[in-house]
Amino acid sequence: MNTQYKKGVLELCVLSLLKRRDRYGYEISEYLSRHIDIADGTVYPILRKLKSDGLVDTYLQEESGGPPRKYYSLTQLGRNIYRNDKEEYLDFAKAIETLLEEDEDDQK
Amino acid sequence: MTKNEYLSRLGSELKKNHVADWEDIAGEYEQHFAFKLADGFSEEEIAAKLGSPETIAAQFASEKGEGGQGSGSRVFVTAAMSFVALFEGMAYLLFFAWAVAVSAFSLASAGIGAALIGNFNTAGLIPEMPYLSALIFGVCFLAFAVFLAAGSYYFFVYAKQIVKASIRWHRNVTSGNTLPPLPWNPQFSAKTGRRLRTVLLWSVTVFGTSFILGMVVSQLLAGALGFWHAWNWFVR
Repeated sequence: MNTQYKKGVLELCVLSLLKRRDRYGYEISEYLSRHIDIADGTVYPILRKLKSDGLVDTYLQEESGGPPRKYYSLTQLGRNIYRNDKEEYLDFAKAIETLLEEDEDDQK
Repeated sequence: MTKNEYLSRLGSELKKNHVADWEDIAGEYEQHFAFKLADGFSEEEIAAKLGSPETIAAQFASEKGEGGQGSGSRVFVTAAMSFVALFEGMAYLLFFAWAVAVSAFSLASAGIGAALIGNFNTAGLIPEMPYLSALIFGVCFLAFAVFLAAGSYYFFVYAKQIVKASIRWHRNVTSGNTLPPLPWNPQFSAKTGRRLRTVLLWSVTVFGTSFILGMVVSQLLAGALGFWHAWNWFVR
């Protein structure tokens, strides 16, 4: 799949994962690469961009038997943007779906 | 690719792309390796799944460009910065001129000192005095020349550093690059700094003592406090 196209959707996926609860970077990377065909390393640039845009925040949390983990959490701005973008994406996806299915009708 | 190869290639690619806090980013990838290794993957497998360091670094590099200034505001920034550069340039020119003036002053002092010690008096420019006084005052002028020379070296380095820092600042503001800013004060290595301090301290000490010694010796030789009157210095 086109990577440029995928990137925008991946941002939405990351926001969705963070909406449910705070997670650390590896957790997000694992979850996404299990469900979507992407290189493991692409999640970290996205997290960084979301942070520099003020959509997520980070904090360090001690873990038993290991170095502290960097957790990501949604900011209020992140929440608002996620709600907005999700709706936009679902409308868009529905429209594309209808459009793509029309050519099957034509062939009949 | 092993973990270390991957991380060092990623680090150098990030630096090449001028990504700020690349160490922080490399740390995140190091943790990724740690998690995956704990799950039983080999370093080669993990590196292959991450994607090539070049691609990853390029993604970090493209993130910072987004959401930046539009081309309209960039033109404005460039124009404003050129205007600032004009005034800055004049100030720096003045600073360089000052450094040149100090070094010229140092050369003049060295000339007078040499003439006094060498006991040659071109066109009667130097007032008459016994050779002992001339010798001590000569040392005094030479020490002053050394002091000024060290001072002008300091000013030259200072001016150069300011210009360098200013150029870096201008580049960062106008091109959106985030190279680390350069310090504005002169940067000496510890060794050079120590040497410079020693030279300044000694030249001031020699200057001060030889000046006082010269005055006292001259007063004794002339038998008067105002030895310059006794030797008719200011009489034509």
